[in-house]
Amino acid sequence: MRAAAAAFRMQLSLALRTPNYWMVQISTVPQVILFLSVIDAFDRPDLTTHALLAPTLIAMWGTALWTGGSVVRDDRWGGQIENHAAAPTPYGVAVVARVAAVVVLSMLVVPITLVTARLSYGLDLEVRHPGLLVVVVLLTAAAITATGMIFSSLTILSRAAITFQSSASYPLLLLGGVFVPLELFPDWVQPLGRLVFLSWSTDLIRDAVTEASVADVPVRLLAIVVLGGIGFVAGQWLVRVIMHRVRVTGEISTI
Amino acid sequence: MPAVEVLALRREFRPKGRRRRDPIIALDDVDLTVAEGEIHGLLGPNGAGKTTLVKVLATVLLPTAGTARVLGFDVVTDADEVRRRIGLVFGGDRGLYTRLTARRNLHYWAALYDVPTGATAARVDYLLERVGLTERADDRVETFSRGMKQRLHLARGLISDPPVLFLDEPTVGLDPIASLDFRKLVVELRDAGKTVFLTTHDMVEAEAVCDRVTLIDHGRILATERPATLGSWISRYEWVEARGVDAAVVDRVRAIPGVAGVEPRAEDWIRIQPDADGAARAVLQTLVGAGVTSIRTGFPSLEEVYVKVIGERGMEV
Repeated sequence: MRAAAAAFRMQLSLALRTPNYWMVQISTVPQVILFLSVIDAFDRPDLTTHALLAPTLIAMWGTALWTGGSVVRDDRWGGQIENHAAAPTPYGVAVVARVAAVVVLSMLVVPITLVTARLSYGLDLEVRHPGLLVVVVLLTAAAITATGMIFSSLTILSRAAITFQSSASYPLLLLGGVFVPLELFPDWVQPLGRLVFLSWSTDLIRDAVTEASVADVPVRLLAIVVLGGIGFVAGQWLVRVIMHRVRVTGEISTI
Repeated sequence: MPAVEVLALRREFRPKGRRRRDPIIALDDVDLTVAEGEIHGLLGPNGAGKTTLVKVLATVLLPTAGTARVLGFDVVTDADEVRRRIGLVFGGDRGLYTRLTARRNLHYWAALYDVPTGATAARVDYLLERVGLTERADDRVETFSRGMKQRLHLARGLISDPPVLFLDEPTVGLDPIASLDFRKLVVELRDAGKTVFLTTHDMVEAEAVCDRVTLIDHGRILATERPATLGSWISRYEWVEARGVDAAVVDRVRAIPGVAGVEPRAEDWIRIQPDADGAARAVLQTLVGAGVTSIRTGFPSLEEVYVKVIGERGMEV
């Protein structure tokens, strides 16, 4: 636990000193304006929540995938991964804590989005169920961390890690109903989307903001927890398997 | 119980690519024992297998065959136990989080090595002081010179106060004074009961600090000896130097069986290089018999041993 806390703090320090990291946060501002301008142009204020949710989750997911993904890749290129391999703390513990750190930092996009909406279109988001919203956002952040760890570890195996990260991003955002609700996709896509925790998160966040009464809250929260948990177990397993593999092949080092 | 015990260790690397190629053998049937409290040097040219052996012992790489134990724990089946007892230091400036300060780097690794929370700050301060980085403790590592990074590597390797320390080319990038201080520190560690296993291709370093030295090349152990013993092991290379030797005497010396060559040296000295047992004695007898009074002899330095055993490899060394 102490090692995880140290890894969390260490990654926070690294992220705060890395200008590239803030690009994801900054890029949220034009995205919010873009989405809101479309809503405004078509006079669909009922889609405001969708317009604000999309850039927020894109930024959180993007941070987990890009910055979190770079945790392992950078450790490998920087030679730190060999020191981790020889340390008593399993590397998976450090990876999950460090991805969690960047995801927690990425939650800054929530106030950035709200402030941008207020300053650009004078919008004040009225949340019907603020308590539920906070719980869902926190669970979503945890699930993003768990899933981000999977992608982070896979970057070891991919020679084209950046291409891999890029191509992995959009399918999950689409299946997660981030751009448009899942029910607008063809029927055959929807079951696939239900296997992605983001689809449960986005639906529940929209409902928590707009609906007077939110149905099946426990089941929907459980779906996020279970799918996030599966991601966590899979991520830890992958880190272990991949570290074993690179110990065998010698690919642990880039030199 | 030996600190390090290696038996019939083999490590292969399979080249990537579509064409099926033979594996590269980095370590071939390596046997090695390092006693507790010993400074053991692994000496060899680039590509000899030094770093691979350190990585296997430090559980970073898995062996292809054979066994390796550190303080009695198998590096494969008891890897966690091994990791709790070792420190690992690679040479060069990779391996540190350069955007963080030296102090934060050490605090991070202290947590990963389970150094008790209450003891971490004092341990970090002590190590920073010991490697001469106290003044720069709160500066980002990216502003450090290569030598400073190397000293920080050493502090990182010592963070958990491990009984066994693996140092892979630890003085790469250090200036002569820092290298000297490093050697002093290594000897202090040995005096404190630590076992130090260091790889180097610096003969002076190996000769200065090691209790025993293992020569390795092409993944095979060539010899393991004390530095002085290693010299005597090839005592047939014991050289003889003499001053003011007549040309006729030089010719007689040259004709002695086992004399490989005679080279002129500065200030009228010549060096006679035997390459067979007993040749040096015959050379001395000839010189003394000829009335030569300025004579000196010497064992080959480790570097000469290295060259004799491994052979000239030019830029590869």
